Amino acid sequence: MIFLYFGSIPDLAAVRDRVTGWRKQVYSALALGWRGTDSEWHWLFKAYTFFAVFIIPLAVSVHSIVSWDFALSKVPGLAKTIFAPYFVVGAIYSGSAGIVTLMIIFRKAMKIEKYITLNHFDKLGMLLLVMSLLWSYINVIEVFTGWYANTSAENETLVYRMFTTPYAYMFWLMIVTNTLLPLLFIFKKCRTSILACLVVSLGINVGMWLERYLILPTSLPRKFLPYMWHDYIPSWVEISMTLGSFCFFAMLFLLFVKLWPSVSIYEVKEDIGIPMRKGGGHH
Amino acid sequence: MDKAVLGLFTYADELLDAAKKLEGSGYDITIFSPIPLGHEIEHKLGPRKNHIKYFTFIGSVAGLFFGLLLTLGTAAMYVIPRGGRPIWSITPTLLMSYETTILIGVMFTLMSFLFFSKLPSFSKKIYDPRINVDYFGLLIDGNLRGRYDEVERILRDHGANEIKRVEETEYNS
Repeated sequence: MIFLYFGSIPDLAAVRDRVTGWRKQVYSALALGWRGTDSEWHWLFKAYTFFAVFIIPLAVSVHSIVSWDFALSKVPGLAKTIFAPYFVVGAIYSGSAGIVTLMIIFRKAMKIEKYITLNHFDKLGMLLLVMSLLWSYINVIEVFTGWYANTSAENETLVYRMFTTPYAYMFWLMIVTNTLLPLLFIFKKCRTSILACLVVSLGINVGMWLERYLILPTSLPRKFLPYMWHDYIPSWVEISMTLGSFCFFAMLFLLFVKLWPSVSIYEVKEDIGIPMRKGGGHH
Repeated sequence: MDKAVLGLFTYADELLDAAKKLEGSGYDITIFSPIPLGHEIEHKLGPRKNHIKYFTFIGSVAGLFFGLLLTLGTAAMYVIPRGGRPIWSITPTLLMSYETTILIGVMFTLMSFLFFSKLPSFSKKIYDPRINVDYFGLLIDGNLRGRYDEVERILRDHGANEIKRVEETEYNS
C-alpha cells in the first residue's frame, strides 16, 4: 500500500488540480500538498528506491510463508522442499498473466491504447515466457521428487492427481495452459498480438487457479491411512465463496480504476521525453 | 510583504540554465516540474544529498534487533523445555527478524521522506496548477527588493513564457 500510495502522490496532485467540490478536498488531502518542487521529487525518488528494494524480499517472504503452511505438514504431495520457490514463481507468474488480461480489457474500455502499447505486451510476454519455463521446471521437480521417493503414499498421491478423473483433466489442462501455451511467446508475432496475449494470459490464469486448487483436494484425501481416504466435493458454500471472491476482486479493481490514477501520469510524461529546446528529449 | 517571482517555462534546458544563472547570483530558487528532473538538475546544479539512506539503514538495523529481542526475549521469558531442543531456536528467530527488519526499515524510510520533503503541507504556498500539466516553474524567493528587474530579465532572457510576481497567499491548488 505504501509503495502504491507514495508512487501515486504526483498523480494525485495532478488530479487535485483538475477536480472541484468534494473530490477536490479528498484529492487535496491524498496529495499531501505536493507541488512538484525539485526537493519533493528528489526525496520521493530516494525513498521510492528503498521501497522498491524492500518490496522484493517482502514478496518472497510472504509467498514462502504461505507455501510453508502446506510444505511443513507431513501430508504426501505437500511436504516438498521446492514449495517456497514454487509459490513465489507461481505468484509472479499468475500475477503477470492477470496484469496482461486486465490491461487488454482496461486499455480497450478506457481507450488508452496510446499509453499501453504493443511494446508493453511484448516485454510482458517475455516475462511470462521466462516465468512459464521456471514454473514448468519446478513443476517437473515436484512430480519427480515424489516419484523418485517411491513411497506408496507419494505414489498414490501422484496417481490420484495425474491419472484419476476428474483431477487428471485439471492437471493436464494446467500443463497445457501453463507450460505449452506460453511457448507461443517465443515468437514476437504472438507477443505483439492482442488476441494471442489474451488467450495465453487467460489460459495461465485458469492454469494457475487449477494449480492452487489441485494442491489440497489431491493431497488431503490421500493421506497415509487408506481407511481415511475420500473424495473431496466442494459444497455450495465453498462454490459461492469462490465466486464471491472473484466478484469482490472485480469490484475492488473497478473502484481502483475509477478513483485512483491507475496509469501513472508522470511516468507516461517521462516516457515521452523531457522537452528540451536544444537537442531532443532525454530518456 | 515581499513578493516572489515565478517564471514558467516550456523547456527544461532553458529552465535549468536560468536556475543555474540565478543560483550563481546568490538567489534562493525552487524548481517546479511535472516530471522528475533529478539527473538533469544534478548535472546542472551539482549533486544533491541523500540523507534517507542513513535513516533506512538505522531503521533496518533497529528492526533486526527488535525482531531478535521479540523472539529471543519471548522464548527467554516463557521457557518451554522440550527434550533436546534449544530454547532459542534459529528458524523462527530469523523469520521474525527478517520481517521486522523490512517493516521498521520501511517505516523509517517513510518518516524520513515526509520529514525531508516537508510533506504533508497544507499551508498556503506559491504554486501554479499548470506546473502539474506541461509547464516547468522557477520560483525566486527571499529578499528581492530592488532586484526584481534583474531577476525578471534573467528569466526573460532564458525563454520564460510567463513571469509573474506572486505572494505566499496566492496558493491556488
